[in-house]
Amino acid sequence: MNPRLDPLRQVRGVWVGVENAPVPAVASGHLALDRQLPGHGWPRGSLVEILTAAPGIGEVSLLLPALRRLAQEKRVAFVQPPFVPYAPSLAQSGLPLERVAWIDAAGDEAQWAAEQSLRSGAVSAVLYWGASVDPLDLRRLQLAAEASQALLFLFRPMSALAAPSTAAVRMALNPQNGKLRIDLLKARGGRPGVLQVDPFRRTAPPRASDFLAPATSPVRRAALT
Amino acid sequence: MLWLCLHLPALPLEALGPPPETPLAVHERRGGKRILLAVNEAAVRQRIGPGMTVAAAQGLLPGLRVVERQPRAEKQALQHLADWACQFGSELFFDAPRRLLWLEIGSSLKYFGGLESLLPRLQTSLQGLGYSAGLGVAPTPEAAAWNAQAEDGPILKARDLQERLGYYPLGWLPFPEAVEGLASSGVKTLAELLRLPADGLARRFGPALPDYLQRLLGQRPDARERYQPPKVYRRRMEFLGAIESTEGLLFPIRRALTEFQGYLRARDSAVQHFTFEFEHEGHPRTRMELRLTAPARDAAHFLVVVRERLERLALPAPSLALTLRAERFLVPDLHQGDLFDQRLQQDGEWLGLLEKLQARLGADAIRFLGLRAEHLPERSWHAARQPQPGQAAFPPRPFWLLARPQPLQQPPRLRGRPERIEGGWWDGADAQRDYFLAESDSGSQLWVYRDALNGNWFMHGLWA
Repeated sequence: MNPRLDPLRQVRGVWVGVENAPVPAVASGHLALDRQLPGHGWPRGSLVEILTAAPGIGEVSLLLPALRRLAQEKRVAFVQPPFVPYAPSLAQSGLPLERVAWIDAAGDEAQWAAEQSLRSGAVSAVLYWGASVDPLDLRRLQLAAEASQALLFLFRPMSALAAPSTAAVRMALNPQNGKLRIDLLKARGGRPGVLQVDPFRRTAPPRASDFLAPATSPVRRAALT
Repeated sequence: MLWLCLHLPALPLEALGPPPETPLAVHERRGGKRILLAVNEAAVRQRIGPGMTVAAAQGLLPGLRVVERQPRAEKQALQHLADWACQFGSELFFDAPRRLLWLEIGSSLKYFGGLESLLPRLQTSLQGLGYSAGLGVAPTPEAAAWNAQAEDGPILKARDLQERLGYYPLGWLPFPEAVEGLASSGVKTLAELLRLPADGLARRFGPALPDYLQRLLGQRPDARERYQPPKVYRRRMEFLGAIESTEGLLFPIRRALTEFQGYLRARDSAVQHFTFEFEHEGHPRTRMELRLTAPARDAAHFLVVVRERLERLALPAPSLALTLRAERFLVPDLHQGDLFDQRLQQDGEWLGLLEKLQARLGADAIRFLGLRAEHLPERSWHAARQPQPGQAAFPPRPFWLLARPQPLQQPPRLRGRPERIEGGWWDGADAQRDYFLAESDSGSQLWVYRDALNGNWFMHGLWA
């Protein structure tokens, strides 16, 4: 893009065009990321592949602003999450608990459940932790997402980087100075690139000061060690 | 705006339930006299009619049973009727003393196929509910009320109001003193009344009368408080003795569902979702939420679903009472129509998915998360088959929780200050933990704790 246009882009209300026709998308809630994504957000009806080096780096928090919105529209399904989605945290993040379904399945059954959820038209997003999905199955999932215009976030380990992918958006996440480095490897209709966001901006993890609040209950008090 | 008015002359009688075979009349005290308001058919056959004094009627028919008008029962009956009438229009209100109920139909008329189809349908349904009503239609509520008493065909245009109303007898004016005063000066119809100057009327009968006439003719807006239908059905049943077994609960449940079916039928509505709550002594209530794949109102169908759930229900103690609750009533007739609620369709899709997933993965594989006001992190959440209501405030918590705390060989790189969580000594799970935020070598944000009792380190969650 012409650098002389940069000042213009700072003006509110100036819309930066992307190459293709507008893609229906859900804003990610991170401006830096939205600028690069097709349709300025997570593109509906597509597969978004998220590769992580390790769990617990803000990979779910990254999605929270969009999930809040998606959970208002329809239900959101977690398929085969690696740990227990912790209810107090979800509630703190503003996710309505009654709109989030945790589907506990593994292997083929998990993949089947993800596909059924996408096809049903009853969910707006599926978060699927599927380590080993072969390319053909990936394609099936993508078609299912397209059919109902639902979003599929597929979490895979970094080792899947070498595997071919038909995802509309593909990104690798790495921790970087307490924030999250996003290598946007692929963004069909958007602009691939490298950026950094703070996924914990409005949620956890807490700063040290959060723990200094006076204890309100006799059972829980801050120990000053 | 087009108003439909239901005039229910026999309401004082009909509100008392199914009329008996023997002559019955309802009276009202006016001045020192007891005047008959409404009489049943058996009384009509014996030449007893409204307007007679009780003394005269009983003189004619010594066996006549006479009861006093019961305003509370009439108001309740009108409320039930209003709940039922909601399906024909969303704006309605009623005037219990005058036995009138209004319904705005201008916006829904097309949907119901015009007046030609709506009015007969209403008449039939009303008869089925045990009410006889005169129906009137006019552009203002009061004109509709007059039209309902005249029953001489709807008034559709505001410009026709004066001409059509002009012939109506002045006796229908809800100002009895003015009616008498005007009659004595020879004014007998509305047309004659309207020829009199408004300021003169105001001087003689007070400002309410000219104001009423202006509302009647649509020269002044007629703002009334709209009736709000209750959003919740609630029926609590106390048991004579504590019921031990879930099997034993079936009897009161069946009764509650049968009543509920009657309620739904009377309202021509259905539900897709209802709740049973069982009360126990010394334990919190047990809640059983039922979701159907399609709206229904059949008690037998409900019972099948309830029975299946009941078998798997673990009750902490014998039950003392039950409560059946339902909200969001649906109109079965309208499901295929334009008024189909998108949200409900979504629920239908969701239930379809749920059934499919449960059939293959097992009923417990699809979970909803709930909160518990407990201190120990592993106790402050739970998973259930049904969405869980509830709120609780917690300090910042990580997105992932490990199903079991995982022992750490060495203390990790800690950040921040600890949060002391103690809990459970009163119920045998003694714990004193200091929770920290920590970072792993790979950059993962961990939630770890040191067991204050033995000094061991554990990982309990991840800030994902």
